[in-house]
Amino acid sequence: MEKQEWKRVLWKRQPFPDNYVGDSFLRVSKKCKKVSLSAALYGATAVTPEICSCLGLVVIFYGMSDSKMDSSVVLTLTAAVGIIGYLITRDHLAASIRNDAKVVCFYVVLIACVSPVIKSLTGSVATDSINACTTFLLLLRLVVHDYGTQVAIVNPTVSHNVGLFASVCLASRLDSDLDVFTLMTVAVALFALLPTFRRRCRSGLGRGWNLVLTVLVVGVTGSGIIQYTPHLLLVLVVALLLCNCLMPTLYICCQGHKQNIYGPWDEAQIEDR
Amino acid sequence: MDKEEKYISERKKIMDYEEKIRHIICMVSDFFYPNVGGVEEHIFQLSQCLLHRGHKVIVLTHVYGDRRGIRYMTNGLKVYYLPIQTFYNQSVLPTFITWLPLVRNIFLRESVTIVHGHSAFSTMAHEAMNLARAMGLKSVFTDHSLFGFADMSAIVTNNFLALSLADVNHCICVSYVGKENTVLRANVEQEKVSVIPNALDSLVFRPDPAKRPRNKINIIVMSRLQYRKGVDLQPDIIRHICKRYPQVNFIIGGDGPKRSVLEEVRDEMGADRVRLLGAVPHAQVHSILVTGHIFLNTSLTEAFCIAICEAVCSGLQVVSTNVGGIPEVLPSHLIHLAYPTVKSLSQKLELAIELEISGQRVEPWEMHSEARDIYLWGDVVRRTEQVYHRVHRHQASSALTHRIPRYKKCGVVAGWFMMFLVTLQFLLLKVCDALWPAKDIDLAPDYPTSFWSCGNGNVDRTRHFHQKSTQAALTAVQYYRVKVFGDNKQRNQKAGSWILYSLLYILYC
Repeated sequence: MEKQEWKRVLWKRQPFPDNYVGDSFLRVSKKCKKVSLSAALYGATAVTPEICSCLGLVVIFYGMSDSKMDSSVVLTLTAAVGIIGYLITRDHLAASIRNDAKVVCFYVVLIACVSPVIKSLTGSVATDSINACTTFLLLLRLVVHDYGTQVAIVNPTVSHNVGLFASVCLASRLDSDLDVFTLMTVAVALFALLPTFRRRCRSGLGRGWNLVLTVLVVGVTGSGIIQYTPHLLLVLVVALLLCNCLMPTLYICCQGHKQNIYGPWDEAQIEDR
Repeated sequence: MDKEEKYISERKKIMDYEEKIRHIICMVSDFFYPNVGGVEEHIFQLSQCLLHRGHKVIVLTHVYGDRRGIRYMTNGLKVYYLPIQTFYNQSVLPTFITWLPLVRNIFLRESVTIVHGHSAFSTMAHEAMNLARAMGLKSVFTDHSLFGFADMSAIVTNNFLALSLADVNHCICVSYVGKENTVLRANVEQEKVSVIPNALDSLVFRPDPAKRPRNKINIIVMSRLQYRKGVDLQPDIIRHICKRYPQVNFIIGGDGPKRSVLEEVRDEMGADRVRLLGAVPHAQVHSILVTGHIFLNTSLTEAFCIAICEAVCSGLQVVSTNVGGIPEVLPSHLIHLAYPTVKSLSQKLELAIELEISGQRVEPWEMHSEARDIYLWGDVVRRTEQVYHRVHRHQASSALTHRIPRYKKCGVVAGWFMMFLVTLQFLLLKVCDALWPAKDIDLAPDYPTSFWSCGNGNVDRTRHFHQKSTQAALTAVQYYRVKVFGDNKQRNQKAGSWILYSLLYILYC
C-alpha cells in the first residue's frame, strides 16, 4: 500500500479523514521576548526624570509661595537653560529660528495676558481641593506620558494638557502676577520642552551618559526638595524606589507568566506610511 | 490479508447501516435569514442539502422584526424564530437558563437527535448545544471565524468558547488554520475537530468572457467595506494602478463603515475609473464578477474566503493577501498571493495586468474547469454526514456526574461557575420534566417528502438541485411561508404546509 503524504491544502482531495492531524499542525510562534533585569532597570530610568519634573514644579511653587525663591531669578535661569537647550537641539538653526521666535513670543504674550486671570481663577476653591487635584493630575501625567513605548495607554496630548492644568491649579494660589507668569513658564519648559530634549538625549547619548544625566536630575531635584520642601522628601524617595527598584523586579518576576501566541490567524497589521 | 478483508467488510456493513440512519438535525444560530452573510448562507445551503439527503432539518434562531413563530422555507426547512430579543451585534443576551423550557419543548417535539450550532459569536448556538448535552442529545459546532489571543476581548471570548466547547461532541472548522485556532482557543482535543471547507455553487459561477469590455481591464473588489477587509490599503493601490495603466478601471462592490475612504479616491480619480456599487445582494455577485478580468482581495484576516473561489470559478485572475486560511484554499497557479502591504499587492496586481495584456493568463474556462469541482456542496454534505454518523456512534455520557468533570479543566473560577450553571440547568430540566412530561408533548409531523424521492440522493443530483434552489427558491422563500401560532393550531399548520407543498410542486415542475 503506497502511502500518500498529507498536505496542508483544502483544494486537494486527500485520503485522510477530516479530523486527521497532520504533522504541520500547530507550528505556531510563541513570541516570548525575555527582558533581562538590567534592561528592565535601565528602562525604568526613563520614568525617573519625569517624576523629578513633576516634583520640581511643586518645589518651585512652594519656594515662590513661601517667598524663599525670587521669581525673577527663576525666570532668568529657565530662560538661560531654555536657550542653551534650544541651541543644542536645533539642527538647522538659521532656517527655523524665525518661526521658533514667533512661537516663543506668542507663548510669552499669552501667558502674560492670562496670568492675572489665573491668579484669581480658583479663589473660591479650598486649598486642600487644589492640592488633591494637582496630585491627581500629576500622577495622571506620569501614567499617560510617552516614555517611548508603543502601548495603548500612552497619550502625549493628554499628558501635556494634564501637566499644564496641574500648573494652572498651583499657579492660582500664588500672590503676584509675576509669580504666576514664572510658574507657568517653568511648567511649559518642564512639561513641553524638557521631554523632547530628554528623548533626544536618550536616543543620541549612550547608556552611561544617560545614567549620569538621570542621577544629575535626581540630585538637583533632591537638593531642591531638601532646601525648600523637606516634607516632600519622603514622596521622592518612595516614588524612586517604587519606580526604579520594585516595579522592574516585579516585572521580571511576572514575565514568566506572560505567554502570548501568535499565528497565521492573527489580523495582519497595516504598516504606517 | 484475510484480516484486512474482514475488517473492510465489517466497515462496509457499518457504513451501509449508517447510510440508512436518518438524523434529525437542529441547526442553531443567531444569524439566519433574513440576515445576510456567510454564516447564514452556509446554514441555509447545508440544511437544504441535508434535507435532500433525506434527513430532517430544523433551524432555531431569534425573531427578526416581524418574522416570528414558525416559518417554512424551501423544501420544508422549518425555521423557529424564537421570541428572544437581541442584545449586541444580532446576538441574544447570554442567560443560559431562561429559554430552557422553550428549547426543551422544541427538541422533544421535533425529536431532535443532533444539535448543530454555528458561529462562535452566536450565544444561541452555545446555549442550545449545552442544553442538548444536558438532555442527552449530540452536539456539533461549526466555527466560521479566526480569533487572536493578544487583546482583552479575545481573552474573554476564548474563555467563554472553552467553557462552551468543553462538552461538545465534535467541532467543524472551515480551514486548517481555523482548526489550529479553535484547538488552541477552546482547548478541544485535536481529533474532535474536522476540517470541512465551505462550498459554492459552481453552476452559478461560470465565466462569461463576452461580458467583459475588450479594450479595458476591470479590477473587481467585492467585500464588506470594513477595516478587517483591508479597505485602508485600497486607496493607495488604486491611485498607483490608475496612474500607471490608463486602461485599467476599478469596480468596487459592497458597503460599510470605510466607504468614505474609497469615495475620496473615487472623487480624485474620476467616477469612470473607480466605480462604487454599494451593497450587492449575493444573487447579483456573479453578474458583476463576470464583467471583470482581475479580482482583488485585501482582507487582513480570513478563515476561508469563499469570495476568491467564486472569482476563480467565474474565470477571473485573483490577487489576494496571504493571510489566515487563504493559502490553503487554491492551488498556487490559480492565485497571486501578496503580503498585506500596498507595495506587494500593487506588484502582484501589475503582474496580473501584464499577464492579461500579453494574453498569457490562464484561460477563464480552463480556470473554471479546474476550480469547479473543488468545493461542492454535495461534498460538504457528505463530509458533514460523516461527522453526524461519528457523533451518533460516539458514546459520551450526558449524566451529570460525567458532565461536571469535563468543566474542571476550564480553570478554577470559570470551571466552578460552569459546574454551578450545569447543575442548575439539570435541576430546571427535572422541574420541566415534572411540569410538562415528555410524553405529553405532541410530536411535530414531518414535512411530506415523497415527491423528492429522497433517501440517498447522489452528489450530482445535489448539485443540480442546488443550482435551482439558489436561483428560484431564495426569492420564493419570503412568499411561500406559513405561520403557526402554537400547539392548538396544528390543523392550521397542516393545511398551511399542504398549500406550501403544492405551490412548491408547481414551482419545481
